[in-house]
Parts: sequence; C-alpha cells; structure tokens
Amino acid sequence: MSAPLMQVQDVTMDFSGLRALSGVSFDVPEGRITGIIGPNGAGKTTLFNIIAGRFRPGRGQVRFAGQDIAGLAPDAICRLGISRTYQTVRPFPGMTVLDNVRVALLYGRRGGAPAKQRHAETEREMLEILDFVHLGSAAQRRAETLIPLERKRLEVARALATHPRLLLLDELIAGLTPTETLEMMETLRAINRRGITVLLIEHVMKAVMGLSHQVVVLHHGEKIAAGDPAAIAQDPAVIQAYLGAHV
Amino acid sequence: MRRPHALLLLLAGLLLLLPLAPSATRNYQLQVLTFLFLNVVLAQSYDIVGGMMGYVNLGHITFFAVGAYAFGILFNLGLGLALALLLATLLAIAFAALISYPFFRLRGAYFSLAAFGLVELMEHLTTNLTGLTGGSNGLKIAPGNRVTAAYYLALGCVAAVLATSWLIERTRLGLALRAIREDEEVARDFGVPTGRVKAQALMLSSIFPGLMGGLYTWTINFINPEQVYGLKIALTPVAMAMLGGSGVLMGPVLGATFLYLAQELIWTQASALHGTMLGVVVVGVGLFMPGGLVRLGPVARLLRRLGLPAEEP
Amino acid sequence: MDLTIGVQLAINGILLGGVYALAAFGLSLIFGVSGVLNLAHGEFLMAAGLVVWWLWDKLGLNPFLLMAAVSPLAFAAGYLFEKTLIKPLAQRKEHVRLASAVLVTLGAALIMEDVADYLSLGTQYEKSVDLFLPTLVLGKVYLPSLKLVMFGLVLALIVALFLFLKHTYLGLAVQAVTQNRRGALLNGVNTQRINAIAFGIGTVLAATAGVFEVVHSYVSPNIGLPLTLKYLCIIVMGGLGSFLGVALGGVIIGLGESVVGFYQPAWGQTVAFLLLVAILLIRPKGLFGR
Repeated sequence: MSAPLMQVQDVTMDFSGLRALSGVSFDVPEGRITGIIGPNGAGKTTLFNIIAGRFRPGRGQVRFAGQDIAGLAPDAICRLGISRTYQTVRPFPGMTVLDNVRVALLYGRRGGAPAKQRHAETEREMLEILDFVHLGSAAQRRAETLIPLERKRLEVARALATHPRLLLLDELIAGLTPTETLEMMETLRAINRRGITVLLIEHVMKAVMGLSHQVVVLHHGEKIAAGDPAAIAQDPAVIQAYLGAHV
Repeated sequence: MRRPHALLLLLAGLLLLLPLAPSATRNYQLQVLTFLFLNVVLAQSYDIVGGMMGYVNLGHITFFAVGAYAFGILFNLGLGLALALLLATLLAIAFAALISYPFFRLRGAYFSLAAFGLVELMEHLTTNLTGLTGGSNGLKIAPGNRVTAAYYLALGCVAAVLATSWLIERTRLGLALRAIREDEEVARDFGVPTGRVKAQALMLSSIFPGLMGGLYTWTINFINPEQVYGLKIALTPVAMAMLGGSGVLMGPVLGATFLYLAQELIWTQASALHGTMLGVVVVGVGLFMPGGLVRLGPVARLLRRLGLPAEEP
Repeated sequence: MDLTIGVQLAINGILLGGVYALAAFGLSLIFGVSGVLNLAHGEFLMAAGLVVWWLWDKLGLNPFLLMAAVSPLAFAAGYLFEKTLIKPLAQRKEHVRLASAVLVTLGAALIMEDVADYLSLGTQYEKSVDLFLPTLVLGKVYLPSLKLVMFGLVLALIVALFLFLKHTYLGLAVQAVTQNRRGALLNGVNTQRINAIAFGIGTVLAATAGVFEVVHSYVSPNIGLPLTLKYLCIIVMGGLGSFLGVALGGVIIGLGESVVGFYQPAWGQTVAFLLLVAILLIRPKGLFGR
C-alpha cells in the first residue's frame, strides 16, 4: 500500500448530546479508491462534512498531506486539494453548466487561482472537463434544466475543476440505472487513473466492492471493520451490522 | 460569442448628450434630473448586494446617510468640497466594512430585518447625538447655488456606478456573487471565501451612496434625520431595483427612472393619498413582476437584440 | 433609586414588554410558518387600535370588550391578506421570494398607513382611550390598577397562546410546519391552509396588542412600521422560533425602554436597536436560537 494522503484520527462528533461519530480512525492511501459503507445513520455524511470543513470535530484530527485540517474553513480546505459532491446534488441552479464549473476553477483551484490564466485557456480547460464527464453538449444550459443524471455529472465536473488531490463522493451512484452505473464507475476509474485519490460513500454494494481498493465500515458512528473488499464481505461484524439493520 | 453591447453605446450616447442639458433647461428641471440621478445611483448600487448577491439589504440607505452627515460636518469644519466628498465617501465605505462582519453572520430574511433595524438605530443615534449632527433640528451648511455643478457630479456618479456594476459582472467577483446568491454553502465549499467576498460587495455598494450623500447635502444645504433615514426612503432603492429588474445591469436604472418620474407626476397631479399610490405600485411589482421591467416579454426581446440578455430571476 | 420609582418603572417596563411580546409572537408565528417577514404587521395593530378607539369614542363601548369583537375581524383580515398577497409568491426562488415579500408587505403597509392618515385628518392625531381605575396603595408603593388588569390580560393571552400551540391539533400543526415544512406536508398537514391560519392568528395577536396600546399609551397612523421593526428586533434577539426567547426579548426591551426612557427620554427608543446590534455581535442566532 502507498503512503496515506489523509489520516482520520480518533474523530468524534456530537450533535446536541447525540454522538454521531465516536473515535473513528482510518487512513486513505494516496492514489487509491477507498469506500465507506454503513447503514443509514452510521455517520458517513457527517464524516464527509468534517473532512470538508463544514463541521469542526469535537475531538480528533484530520491530517491531509501532513497538515491537520480539522477546523479549517471549507474554502481553505478546497484550495488545499479536497473537493466533493453532495448526496443530493447541489448545482448553482440559475447558472449555466459552464459557470458552475467556472466558480470551482477560478476560486477553488488547488493552491489558489493562478495570477494569470488566459480566458481562452480557462474556457478550453472547462470544456475538456465537461467532455470528460459527457456533459460537453450541455455547457450553455442552465443547471436547473438538467436531468438527474446530468446533474450528477455536473457535480463531478465541478469537483474536478478544482484540481483536487482527494475527491469526496457522497452516494454518487445511488439512483442511477444499471447502465448509467457502469458508465459512472468507468468515469470514476478514469479519474482515479489520473492520480486523484477517491473517498466514496455508497450504498450500491456492487459499485463499492467493484471500485474500492479498500473499504471502511461505519456502524452507529464507530468503525467496525476496514480492509480489502473481499475480506470485508466475509467479516462477521459487518454481516451482523447489515443483517441487524435490515431484519 | 457575445454581441456588441449596443445598449451600452446607446447609453454612452445619452450620457454625451446629457451634459448639454444645463444650457437648455431651467433650474427646476435640472434639480429634478439631479434627484433622478440620485435615485438611479442608489438603486444601481443597492443591486450589487441585493441583486447580484441576493442579500436584500434594507439598510442600504445608511451609506447615503453616513455620507450626507459626514460631508455636512466636515464641510462645516472648513474642508473644501473635494476633500469633504472624498472623506465622506471613505467614511461610508468604512461604515460598510464595520457592519459587514456582524450583519453577514445572518442570512436571508434575518439579514434583511437586521439591516432594516440598522436604519432605525442610525436614525435614533443621529437624532440623539445633537452635538455632532444638530439632532432633529438638522444640519445646515453655508448655502450657495450649486444646482448646475451638482447636476454634473451626479451625472458622473451615474456613469461611474454603471461602469462599476458592469465591471463587477464581468470579473471573478461577479461570478462569486452569483454563486453566493444561488447557494452560499456550496460556493464556500468550492473555494469562494464568502466572508471576504460579501464584505467586498457591501463596501463596493457603499461607495456611490456615500458620495451621493455628500453631494446631496452640498446641493440642498440642509439635512435632517427624517430626510435621510425615513423608512420609506430606505425602501425606495429596493423597490426601484425590483421594479426595473434586480440582478441585471440596466434594471435598477430603468426602475429608478420609471418610479421616480411616476412619483414626480403623482406629486404634482394628485392632492392626497400619494403614499397609497406608491404602495399600490410597490405591491403590484412584488406580486406580478418579480423579474422586473427588463424581463417583461417585449423589453426582454429588445434587450436581447441589443446584446444585453436578462437572465431569468 | 427610589423604591416607588423603581417599582413603577418595573411595572411599566414589564407591561410594555408583555404587549411587545404579544405582537412579536404574532410576527414570529407568521415568519416561522410561512417564512415571510410581514412588514405590515404593525399596521394591523394600528388599524385595530384606531377602530377600537373610534367605537369607544362614538359608542362608549369598553375597549376590552371590543377586543373580543375585533378579533374575528382581525383573523379574517390576516387570512385574506395571506390568500391574496402572500400565497402567489410561494413558488418563487428563495431570494426572489424574499424580495417580493418585502415589497408586497411593505407596499401594503404604506397603503394602510396612508389611508389611516387620510381618514383621521382633522381630529387629534394621536388617539388614546382614557379608562380610569382607582390606584391601589400598598404601603409606600402606588400600584396603578389599570396596568395590573392589563398585565393580567396580557399574561392570560400569552398562556392561552402557549397552550394552544402545545395542546391543539392546529397548534401542533403550526409548530410542525415551523420546524419542517416538507415533513409536515408529508404527514398530511395542509401547509397552504396553515400559512393563512398563521397569518390570521398572528394578526389577531397584533390587533390585541393594538387595543392595549390605545389604552395604555396612544395609537396614530404612523406607528406601524417603527413598531414592526421593534418586533423584528425582539424576534431576532430571542432567536427565531423560540417562544421563550420572544417573551424574554419583549420584556428586556420593555424594561430597557422604561428605565432608560425615564432618565434619558431621548434614548428610550434607541434601546431596542442598540440591544439588537449588541446581541447580533455576541450571539448571532439570538438568545435562544438553535
């Protein structure tokens, strides 16, 4: 395994007395895809919100590229190289697809926006990203006119525009048809091949198991297992948690 | 890809013609035009925060008031016109910077109502700090006939505020403002330093009201709290921007012109119930024209043809 | 400080605060349920005050009895206000809806103020009902019994409102919508109707406060907007959606105005807004905001 890009260490989070996460620790190896699974309410999205700077954890550290980022502002974290998609898509509805991406490119770029980037260069880069996620033909459309699949693609395009080192994907595949799922999985693999580390939350087991090099299982705010997908599928604690949740 | 901005050329032409006005008109008309410009400047500068960024700033008029009082006090201290105007403007900007932090901790309706409360607070402070402001008796400055000069300065302000809005719309800042309007949390997640950007927008929107405030005092020689803080006055820029079309460059200009001229006509034609008529217009705009005049069918088509498409609200 | 003066100031302040809180509850209820800042709220108070004054002046009826008679009218007015002016805005984007609602309610406020002004020309501008009740003397302290009666009424109304919200279906529905509009809709609450009902109840509270105002001090056509602003201060101070916060915010401002106004008359009215800004600096979500 390669060296960790990010280390989540003993992260604990309470919401007015309710414990959402308790002492969660795991490493995210650089250049790999790590999946987080767990029943509803396991604390997965809370964890993402802590990594992305939305919440400050009650205890613990999030070390990213050697620096503790827990408690930094979301915009600063974005410029450090972490970007995300949302569980329910959140485009800027009244803006064009291109402008949606432009915000991320001009403001969220890792290391800050370059002092001088030609207009034409920006446009070319944005179109390239849109083509990559199969959204090139919709560049001039307002985001609110997109169908759900296109909105998911826009989420990915916007996240890529920041030149992230780490991409947080929150249930990107949920709700897609089998064909769309395969296509999106292919896109994610292609992103990963570009050297971008991926951390994804997903309920669709086939997708998580098929994509991830490593899987972390959360249950009631605690990490109950971590390892490669094949081992996780056999883990008695994991089976117990899932069966317990479903029966 | 964009068409040439024919409307801007048209506007430039109009602005070239307007300086000729003083020779052709009498003082009264000149003063009406000056006040029209004042309203245009207030509405257009309001829209930087209210339209582009989507924060309905009901306290916008405080910038004007700070500028007006600061100018009056400084001018009475013996400062020259230029220096007093400059300092008054800088004070208005400083005031915007000062309130930016506490007020922008609030969002949406909370922000609006706190900003509205600020108008009331400033009015009380101005009334009570009699040593500085003359209290409810008002503040006088040495009189003089400044109608023509004020006209030119106000015209310059209109051009400057339009140029500023135009520039903001075309830069990274304008993009950030729109992103904040659409979804502030997401904007922040994608790198927009929202606190700083909001403060910048508020300060930019305070420049011209501050300057205009100084100019106002200079031209009419007398101000009092009611004149510059009245709640109806506070709401006029908002109504004008909405009437014309918030978030579109020419919208507030159009709305301000329309509403101001309508008011002038109503005042001269009807003997009573002016407030009711204004109220009916304001309610009508809110109910039926959320996009404002610029987004009405024929106007929108004309603007599009001129290369200035109005976005949907 | 003289004990008598102290007690007087406290009674005045709490009574003032109670009346503020009553009307502010109405505004808070409307805002919580519909998300609309009703800038015409104070105008309903003004209108009710003037109507009650007129009936008292012409027919000599007791204003507190009139309060009961005016309430259904106020409810109908608020209900119709929502149906005609607020409901059409429901489908707009958030920031557009906010601005539209400001314009609509403000325009309505301007109209109401102007019409009231037009109708009350000629006679004295500030209308007040003079009710006389004998003063109670407890040792060295003089207790104005009219104020005590009013305070009792305000308290009873606040308790009644609290019970209504906690124990009736309608009250619970109102609270459900305040907390989670979509959730309430999914659970079968008719959110459209709740909006209008909230406007109705809120307006009744404003009208009731109007009756207290006309008895306790005075009502004139131009008091609407400044009062609305003061209620907004109270709501923001207390934290939106907090019943206790509004009550406390009202009393703090009432006491503040009463005490400051006694020693520095000019600054009495400034208190609310200074407190508002101070609290925003310390606790942006208000005293009891979550």
